[in-house]
Amino acid sequence: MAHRARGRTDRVRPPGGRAEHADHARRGDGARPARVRPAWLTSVRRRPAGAVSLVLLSALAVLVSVLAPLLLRAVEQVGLAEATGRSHLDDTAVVSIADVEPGRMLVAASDVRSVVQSVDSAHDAGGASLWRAPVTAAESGGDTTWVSPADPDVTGSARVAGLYGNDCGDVVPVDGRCPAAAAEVMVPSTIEGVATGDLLDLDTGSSVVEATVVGRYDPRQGDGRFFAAPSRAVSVDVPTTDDLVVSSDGFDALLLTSKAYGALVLSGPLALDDVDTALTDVATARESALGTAGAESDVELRTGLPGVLDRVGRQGDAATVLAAVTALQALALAWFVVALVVQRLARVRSAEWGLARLRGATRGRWLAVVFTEPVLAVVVGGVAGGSAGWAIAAAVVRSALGPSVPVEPTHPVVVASAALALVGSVVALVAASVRSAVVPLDQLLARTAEPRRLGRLAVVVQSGLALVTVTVLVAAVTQGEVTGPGLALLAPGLVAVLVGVVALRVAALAVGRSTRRPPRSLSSLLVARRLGRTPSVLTAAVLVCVGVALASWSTQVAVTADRLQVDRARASVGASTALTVSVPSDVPFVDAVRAADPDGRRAMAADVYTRGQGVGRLVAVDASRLGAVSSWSPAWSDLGDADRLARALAPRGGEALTLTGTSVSIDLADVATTVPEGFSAEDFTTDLADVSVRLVVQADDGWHTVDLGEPRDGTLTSVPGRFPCADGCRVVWFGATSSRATTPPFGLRLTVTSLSTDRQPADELAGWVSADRWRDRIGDGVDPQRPARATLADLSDGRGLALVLIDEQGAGTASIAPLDTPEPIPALVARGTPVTPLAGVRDGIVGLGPDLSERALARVGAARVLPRVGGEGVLVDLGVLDRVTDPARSEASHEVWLAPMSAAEEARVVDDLSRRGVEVVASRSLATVADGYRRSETTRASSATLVVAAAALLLTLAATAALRAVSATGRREDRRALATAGITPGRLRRVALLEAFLPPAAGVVLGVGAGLLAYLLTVPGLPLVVGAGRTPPPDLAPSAWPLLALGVGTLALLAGIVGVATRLEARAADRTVGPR
Amino acid sequence: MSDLALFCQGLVHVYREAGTDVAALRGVDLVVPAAQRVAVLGPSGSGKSTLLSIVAGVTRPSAGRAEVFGTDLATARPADVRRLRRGTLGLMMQGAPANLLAHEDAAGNLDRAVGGSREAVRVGRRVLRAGGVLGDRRPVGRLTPTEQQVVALAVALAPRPRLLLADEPTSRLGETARDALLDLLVDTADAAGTAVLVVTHDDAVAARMQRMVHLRDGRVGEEATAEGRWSVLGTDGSLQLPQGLRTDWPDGALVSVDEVAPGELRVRRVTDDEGGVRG
Repeated sequence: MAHRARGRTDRVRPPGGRAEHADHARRGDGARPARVRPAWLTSVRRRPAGAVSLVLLSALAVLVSVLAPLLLRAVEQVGLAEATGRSHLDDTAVVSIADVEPGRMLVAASDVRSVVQSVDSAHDAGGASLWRAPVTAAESGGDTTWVSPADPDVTGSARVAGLYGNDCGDVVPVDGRCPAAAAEVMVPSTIEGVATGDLLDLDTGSSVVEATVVGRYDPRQGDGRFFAAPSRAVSVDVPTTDDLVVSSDGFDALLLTSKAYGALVLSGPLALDDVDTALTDVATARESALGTAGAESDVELRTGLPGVLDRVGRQGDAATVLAAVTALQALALAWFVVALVVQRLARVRSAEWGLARLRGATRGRWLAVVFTEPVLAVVVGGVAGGSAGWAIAAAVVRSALGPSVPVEPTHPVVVASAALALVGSVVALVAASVRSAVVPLDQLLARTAEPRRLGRLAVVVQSGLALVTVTVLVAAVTQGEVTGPGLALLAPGLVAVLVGVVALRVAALAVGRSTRRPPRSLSSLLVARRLGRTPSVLTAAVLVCVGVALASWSTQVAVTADRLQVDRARASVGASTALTVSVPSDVPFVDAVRAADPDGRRAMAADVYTRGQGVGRLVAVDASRLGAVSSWSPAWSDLGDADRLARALAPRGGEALTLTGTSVSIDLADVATTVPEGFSAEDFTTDLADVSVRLVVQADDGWHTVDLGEPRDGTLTSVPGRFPCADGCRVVWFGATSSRATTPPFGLRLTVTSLSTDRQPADELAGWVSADRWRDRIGDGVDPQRPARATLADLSDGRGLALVLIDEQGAGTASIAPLDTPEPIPALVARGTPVTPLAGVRDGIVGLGPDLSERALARVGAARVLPRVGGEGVLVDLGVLDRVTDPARSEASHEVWLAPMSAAEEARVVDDLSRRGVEVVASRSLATVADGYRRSETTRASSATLVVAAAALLLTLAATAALRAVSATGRREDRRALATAGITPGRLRRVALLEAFLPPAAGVVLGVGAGLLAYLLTVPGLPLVVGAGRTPPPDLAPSAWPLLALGVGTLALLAGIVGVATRLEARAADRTVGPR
Repeated sequence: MSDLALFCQGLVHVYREAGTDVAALRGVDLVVPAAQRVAVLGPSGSGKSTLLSIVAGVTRPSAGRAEVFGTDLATARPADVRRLRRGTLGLMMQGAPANLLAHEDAAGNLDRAVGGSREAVRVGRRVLRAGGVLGDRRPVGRLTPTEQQVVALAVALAPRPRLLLADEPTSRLGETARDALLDLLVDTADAAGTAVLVVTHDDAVAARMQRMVHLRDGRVGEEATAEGRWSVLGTDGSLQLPQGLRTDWPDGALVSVDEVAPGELRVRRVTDDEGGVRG
């Protein structure tokens, strides 16, 4: 053959000649054979993008999966600790109680002690105890008076606590020692004037015992708190002073009626893992109380611990629901991400994997080729992610919850969650790899691993997802409150998937259609061509859509949870700052506050009485300033706005009758007795001598009753000095009442012909002798039958005001009042308030005034919650209230509510108030209360999920970059081909930017919308405020700014990532043809 | 085991494209003895690559027999095909990506292909050395096309296959490089007693083989050796004209076939005048 003679050589001559030879020599040509590394190692070293991407994504997947349980555990832990670590003696103590017969203290004390010791004994057998050493003491039922024989001025009264023997518990006396003998006493260190060594005479009422003070204890430390008042442990009959402490002998010597208390106090805040033990201990103590010793002394066991744990548990459950929503979806998203990136990687490497099959590699070797590198990457990433999750959780917990809150990376839930994420990632990896790993070899050789259209399987899966989404969303919307991690938890992710899948299909169709039309520009042609050739890159947009949806949903939930707690605080405090003030009796409170803030926008007077129940819980506000000053929103009532509410609570009334002078005179005529309808003259007799005509006027210092004597024709004049109205008084009412102690009924008819004072002649006040300026006053006679009443009429001859004053039962007041005051008192009633309707009065209910007298109220509206009194009580206008009830007899506390203002402005207002005699006693700020409410587990959990959502968002962005990185080779070749075709680098860069940015950017926009939609669908069912009593109507409206910030921020971040990625890609493409 | 490296009889392959059945092979008969070098030539679409794909065990034939050293690829189990590819067949498919790991260097590719066999590595290294790429640590993706083909050849020959299948092994090379690579191929194959089946468009490549087989329309049309060129009688009795006549004798031309002597036929094109039967 001619060829043989022509071309035979010993070796191929490398192109490039001598220089190429030299280059080869530098690279080791002819040197010793290269050491062959494991295939996966070479792969990682030579093309790190794939492995690095998988490590990163796997790390983020495990990170998001462990963050949620770690943070949730910490939140629950701190919630439990705060609930159980508040004080030495509170609801969490286990207390056994038994009555003590005088002189037999030790018997009962021994029985109560054995009950609480039963828990301690159980722990002695089984390990460390949650409880402090049990402490026992008896306490007298009443006070014992003590006096120092050396100085009779040193005296006082207190209850007496008897030690069990002389067991002082852990009390270390401030000085001296614990009492051991019968005639020894230990006193609280808060008592002044008594020192160790002093003698005290203890007077129990039946005997006087002399005792020596042998020590003083601190009633605020350790068991000193218990000895200061054992009964305080069960919150019954709490003494106001700290107890004197004696030994059991001394206690028996005093022969006191008492109770014995045995207390078991938590040694510290409970840990979550200790809850079951604590409940078991309570059950043990309860069982012991029912045992022999307990039964003999009729020992009763009291503890609020199960209730506290139940409340904490409910909070914890709700917090778990909130955290689970985000965590589950973040985890699903992480798997999705890993699967997507692996799928892309698999398509890129399918030819390489096929090469192993083409060479007939064994199954094991082939599996090693396919899975070693990605599985190693996923595992390494998982370990790194777990560690990072731990570190991040520790940092977040430390900064948000405090350094003492434990982070438990080895807790089974955390480990299981991490394992689940890791296993899920590996499964996703395998599932996503398999299809590309088994592509028929002939297809691989034809280089058609990348599908040109979305597969049928994808259509089926996506359709199934869409169907499931719709079903679940319908269930979520219709099932009401989410009480557990049910299907509805997946709503945000499902909505995003639904939106994303629909958008994906539409986009694929649009791209396909656009490629068949004449292109508008070269750039659009190139972008559409790329997307049309690899429509699966659009799936990345779905990924971004889900991530952003989760983040926007979590953001909205966190913002709403925070807002709900702030709203709770707004209702609870009533204003930005609520100042408790003292007001001198001669200072008109409302006027003083108005004078301190003439504009009416910064300060408002309020009276609050919260110690009662139902309508007895009263808040009276200066209604005209409520809208401007109060943090409570009138929109929370069914009256809607502040002006309407103010008009309803303080309707415009008639003119007030103001009398000025030092004496008042009233001319009466036609005075006669009368018989009420339904009575006969024989049955109902009135002795006018038993009736007193009275005028009640309101001066600055309160109401004054002016007794004008028995009714008679002629002029009735006040007794000198009983009409203190030199500066003017408002007439509250005029009428008659029984003047005898037996308060007989009466019926009286009279005509007021004139009214005058020593400074106001009758002519000046003549206009008031008219029926149209007065009304029948209800006063405190809220009996619907109105046994005491008045009838008004003008005499036809114009001689005066004819009155009929009747009290059918006596003890009442038949009176009239000027029209300046509405009656019944208009009141806004909290919806949770039990009310008694007042028959005969439209919308009338029986209420209580701040002087605790019954008052008729007219319900003008209802509110879900009222300021300061919460879900139970009434709100009235303070000005109206002060005209209807005597402010001087008010039991309510005075408060000045301040609108948000600077510290300097607040100081100015306080100074103004002070100048008017109104002194600030205490202050409560909205910010402080809101901070406290924000510590609820649900709010903390919803905030903690922001960290998880942020990690999920980061995951999607990282995945976007990873998808770009692992499929860079194909684009590099494309880029070179396009560059060869004469397309400028600038245009190529713009095309690459558009191609990389547009799909995920669309995903961001869709994700924000999907998150918002999911929020609107699910938020009514989320347990954002649990166990907080009645709260303001939840404002669940979405917040625009966080959404906008999230969307714009993510787009900016995405643009940055894409910009850097395309620049690097362009640089790499320009440099060389790199390995895949 | 048979001494025949390849035995194809009535090999048919039909595939479906755009809803239509396309017959890529229409009854190929081909026998390649052990250690023989055979070039398969033919125009695009004649079935060369399909034949190679079937012999490589990548594609299963629709009908007929395709035995590689006695293993019928039409009926072989996947494990048998894998074993055949692992030890008997050497594959050098068209283009470097189909044969090599682009991120690995030459030695790495060799190692991945042969596993731990020292002898195989020695053979492969010999090819690499001859090709001037031994010790080159660059990923093969960054090598020149010639160097890539050298590595691909080394990888294919290293396991000392009994039948080397090569699809256009020199398609991207210049003349010099092509010849050098062919030298390598021929020398190594001869030294190892490897049969070679090369698919090519290039007559120069074919000339380096001991035998040339021309495929046309899915059939073996003619064969050539140093001794001469022959048309091949198909299993259906059809006979293809020598390539040189095809341009002169158009499709549909009438011919007369007469036996002029025992074992000798005369084929004569009928002129238009003689072909009055067509009207």
